[in-house]
Amino acid sequence: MTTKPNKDTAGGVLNGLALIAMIVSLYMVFLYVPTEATMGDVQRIFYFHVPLAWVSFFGFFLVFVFSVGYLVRANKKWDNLAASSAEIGVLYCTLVLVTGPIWAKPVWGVWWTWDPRLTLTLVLWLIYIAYLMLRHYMVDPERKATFSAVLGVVGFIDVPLVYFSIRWWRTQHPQPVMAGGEDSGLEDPMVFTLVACVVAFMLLFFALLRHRLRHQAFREELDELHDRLEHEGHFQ
Amino acid sequence: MWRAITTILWKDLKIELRTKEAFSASFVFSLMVLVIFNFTLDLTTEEAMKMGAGFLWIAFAFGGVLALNRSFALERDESCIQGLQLAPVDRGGVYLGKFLANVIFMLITELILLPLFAIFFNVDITGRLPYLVGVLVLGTVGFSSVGTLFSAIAVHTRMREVILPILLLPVTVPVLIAAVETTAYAMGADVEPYFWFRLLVVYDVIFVTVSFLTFGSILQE
Amino acid sequence: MPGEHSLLVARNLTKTFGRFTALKSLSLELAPEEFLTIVGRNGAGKTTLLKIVSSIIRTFSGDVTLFGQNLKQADEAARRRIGFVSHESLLYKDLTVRDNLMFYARLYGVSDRDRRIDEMIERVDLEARSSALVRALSRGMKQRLSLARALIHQPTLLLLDEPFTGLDERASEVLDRFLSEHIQSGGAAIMATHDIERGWQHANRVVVLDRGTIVHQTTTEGSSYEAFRNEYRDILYH
Repeated sequence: MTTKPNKDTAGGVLNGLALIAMIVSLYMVFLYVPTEATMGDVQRIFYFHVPLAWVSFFGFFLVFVFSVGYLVRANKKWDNLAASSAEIGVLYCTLVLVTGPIWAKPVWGVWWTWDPRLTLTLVLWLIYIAYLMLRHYMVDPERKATFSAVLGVVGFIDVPLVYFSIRWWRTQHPQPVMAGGEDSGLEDPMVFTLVACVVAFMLLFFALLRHRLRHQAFREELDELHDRLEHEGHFQ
Repeated sequence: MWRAITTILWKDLKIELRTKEAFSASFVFSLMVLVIFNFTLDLTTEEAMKMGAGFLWIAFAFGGVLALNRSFALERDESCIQGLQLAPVDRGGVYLGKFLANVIFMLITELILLPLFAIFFNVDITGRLPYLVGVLVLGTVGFSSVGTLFSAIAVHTRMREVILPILLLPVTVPVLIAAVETTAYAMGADVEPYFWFRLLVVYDVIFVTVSFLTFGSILQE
Repeated sequence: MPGEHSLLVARNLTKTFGRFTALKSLSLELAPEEFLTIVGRNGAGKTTLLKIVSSIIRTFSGDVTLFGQNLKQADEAARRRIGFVSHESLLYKDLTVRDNLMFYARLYGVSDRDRRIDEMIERVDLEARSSALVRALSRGMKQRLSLARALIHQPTLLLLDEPFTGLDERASEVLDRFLSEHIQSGGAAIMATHDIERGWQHANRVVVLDRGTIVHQTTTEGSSYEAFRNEYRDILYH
């Protein structure tokens, strides 16, 4: 690893873009977009909740892609990418699970409902928490990479099955009908704001991913230096 | 391939016949789960009919995790797993052998537990019995398809016994829901079973295939 | 062409575990009927080399040609002709002596299994215990049985990873006998050990491995064991 991780222009640009996009989307969420008629101000959390959910699913999709990459090529890079995507995906997913109830309570009157989308998010969160736990409990680095790649593949293939099973399960176990579904008639400014937020969270995702990879590179370099020192000590 | 499957199946069955460890652990634990459900919920027959399928599959799943943990724990002793790595056979065949052994162990436990469940909870299970058995088989195949793969993973971690259920249960959510719904139908509940039945089959096919294909990379070092 | 008649040709083998380099572009050849001993301290890469040759490890860089075929393409066929002895027995404690051998004989597709198993049980002197469970065997018996396991399919190439570790006297006699018979009947062997004396005794050639590379090799015929030992004492006993 002879790259100089200190100079990271592309990363700086990415950080800057994410920051600008975040400020713009905050402006749009709180000042630009009109207050939703039936739900009131609390509906504004929708512009965080939904993009977070989409980008976290996208992150899990990336875990799948990088895992397949690792299984085919056995290159450490793919493993780093998959692990970092999973970490950020879980972070986003956690925020989805936090913002969901905050929104649901005033609108639906309950903190939680076993709505297909919420339930899917929860099950995904569990799968990828398990993914991170597996990594934590593995010692051998090579096995860690292979095993988590297998889990990354199995977990993602599972997603549509989980989704359909939950949806069907819901139709057979009817619960009180909730007023104000998420996508009931969005007006144009709302769509613009939503798009801006998706872009902002996507940029943030990649900025974080880049940071995580750089962190990994630093760590490897540090380990290498550590080894070299130890080696020299060995011959004294 | 066939040689690997039959040889490993023969070996696992032989060990199990001698020790009965997988069976006794999973059977006693499953039975305990059912008994505890009875104490904590105190159901009437009618309620039990509605929820019984759920209890049954929770008991099967928890007991199954124990049997699956044992599956590769016994390969870890004396590095027997190295014997499997060295064998001149397709590694997918090794997977299928272990997988079939696990399906058989789980099914035996389930078939013994089933009448006990009927007695404890006063539920009539004979109404659609052939269907019920079919559902048990499909659900068990799905559960132990990923279960066998994850057991081979879990055995190499620190926290072996703990990690398997954490990995396995979220991934098997679809198969558990589908198995519960079809089992409820088999016990006379008013459920539309065809979607669930198809889901079970689809899950089984997908995950036996995926596990078969990825097991080679799990087994190598 | 060099290497054409070799049993094993390994070129530029490199294997890293995380940030630890186990093998550093190592090249090695083995002739048929050759007994090669690899000595070196712990972590020198001995076990890694054996695991690559036996295709337990399948991700590495470099090329291995084994029995005339590229190992990465024909690993299943290659494994059939390899026997692996390690300091762990690879035996199932809850199976009998006979069933353990039966398991491995079936896995390797050995023909005329019953006769072959009887023969191996006799050769390791366990006739009286053939239907005993392995968990009831003494340590030495288990070691002997493990040798029978490794040789049940009459491998061409025998790989031995620290085979003398913890062996009792009787088991090491059996091992010594097996090794000579194996070579006499035209087999080849690679043995990794840090016991240089025993290693030297059996070998045609001795290779010294240090930090993943070959630092020295010598044929045993015409060289003196004492000279070798004195020269490499530092590396081997450090």
